[in-house]
Amino acid sequence: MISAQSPIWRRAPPPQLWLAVGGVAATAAVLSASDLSYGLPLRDLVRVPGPGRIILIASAGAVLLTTGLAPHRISRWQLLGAGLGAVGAMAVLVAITDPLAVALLLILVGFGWATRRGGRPLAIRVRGPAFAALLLGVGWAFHGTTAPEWLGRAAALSLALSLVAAAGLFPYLQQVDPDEPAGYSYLAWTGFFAPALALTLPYRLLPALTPDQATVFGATLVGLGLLNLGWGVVGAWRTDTETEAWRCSFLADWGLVMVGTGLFQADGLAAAYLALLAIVLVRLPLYLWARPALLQREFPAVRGPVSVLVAVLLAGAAPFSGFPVRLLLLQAATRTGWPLAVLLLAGMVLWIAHSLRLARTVGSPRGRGALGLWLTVVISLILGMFSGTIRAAAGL
Amino acid sequence: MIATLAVAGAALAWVGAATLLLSDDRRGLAVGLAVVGMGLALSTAAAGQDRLVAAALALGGVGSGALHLGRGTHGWGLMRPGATPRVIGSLVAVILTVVVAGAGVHDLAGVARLGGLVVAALAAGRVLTVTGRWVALGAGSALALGLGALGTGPALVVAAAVAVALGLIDLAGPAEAAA
Repeated sequence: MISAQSPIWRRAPPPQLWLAVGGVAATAAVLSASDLSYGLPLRDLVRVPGPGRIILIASAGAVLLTTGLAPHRISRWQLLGAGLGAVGAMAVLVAITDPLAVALLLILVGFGWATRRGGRPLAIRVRGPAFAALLLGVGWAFHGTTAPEWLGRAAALSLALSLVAAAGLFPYLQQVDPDEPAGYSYLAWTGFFAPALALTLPYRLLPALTPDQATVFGATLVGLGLLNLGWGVVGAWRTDTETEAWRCSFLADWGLVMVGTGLFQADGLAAAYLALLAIVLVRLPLYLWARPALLQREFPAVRGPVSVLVAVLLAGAAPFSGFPVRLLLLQAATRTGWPLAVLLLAGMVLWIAHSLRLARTVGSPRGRGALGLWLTVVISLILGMFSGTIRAAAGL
Repeated sequence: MIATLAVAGAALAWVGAATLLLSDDRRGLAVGLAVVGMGLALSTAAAGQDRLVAAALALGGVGSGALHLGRGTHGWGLMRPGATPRVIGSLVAVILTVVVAGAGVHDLAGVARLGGLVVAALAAGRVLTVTGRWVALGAGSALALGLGALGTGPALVVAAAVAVALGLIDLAGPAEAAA
């Protein structure tokens, strides 16, 4: 029996402690190796781009926030260990410059994460990362093929689809079991691992693609981005269950990310960057705050200022995190072609329909939960109000 | 002679991947992984890769196979009833790969890549269709080896390391019956 007065190192189960220490060490090593790589015999094998550095810090912050303050059914030590271990794995994925090596490590991370006991069987949970690794590896291996030309284009298509598969987006939607702990479900990939990949892979891939291949890559991302945006906003509004509504809301966010990335414009990339930060720091924590209500399947009516505030935040209104994303994306889309901007605008208007539904599930937590919720709201506010500074921090 | 070795290595890798696909027990899986590793190593070495790096790929395949033999029942489980779709799949995969990606093969490195692609496709097919833990881990090892053979130098070493790591995960995990 562990007493409340036990020293902290006795309360931490050793495997979780080692996982946490390993994760922190890997992250620190990657960040310092990236700085020192000119002096070390690493050449260009390890390098963390600016946005990758910020998303790593944001992910570590999200782990600490959600572990400490979100309501959980499993031990917080377990979560902290797994979360920091995951940040360490992300750091390695973000730092490796060779996309083929990233594909191989994706297999390792996918299987390693799926070995956590609980939830669906390992063989089911690894399907998304394994398929993403296949698409990324094969696409990268054949992107240099110039004859026949269509093989190079197919490789670019495969590269774009790898990102979609890793995040578990439409058309690779993974099964979501409402009773499965969030850390075991595919949302761990959609809301945690995949944002880091989405922020770094395009920087690795695009310089190596020919203009033809880059067009295929970008068009695939924009097309699937619009599909995910549409699927997400309509699904989150009309679907039967609240858990599915939350999943769809992640898809809608990812829709904006993919369109922003696929436009290859500074504003579009900045919008994608800010949207990914909002997924990690705002949407994922809010989903964890909604989990108790999702599990009990009891949803109070929207009442009080907190629910209204969360609904406004989730709708992407100013001054919260969603607003600069929408503004930058519409600017970039307008420069590309007004029909694209019209489609995006329609998606953004429909978005409002599900925000109240999701806010209802978050409710008005008390005590530690309330502190966490307010912190998340403040983070969203900071992302919305200081978006220029946050862009500059990533060099975008 | 070198070209024959490259083609023979790619063919051997396909035989290994097909064995892995058609086997429902650990011995078949382990032998399949070992043959995949050796075939890909032969093919990549013949295509001009550093021999030590290619040897790492062989070691990764054999090591991963040996780790998968470390527990559970040791049958072959080859071609059990219901395996017909997988037999057809293994043949269709090699034909499709040669038809689709074969157009981009202009040298021995292309032949080695073709071998890696066949292995990766069959292994991914296995990962996406199985429900058993150790079968998925074995197929994951083969996927890593196949993808590694698509690259050069460090990628081959990383692939071998990932294949062995997945074998260790299987060894450390809970015991499970045959697929």
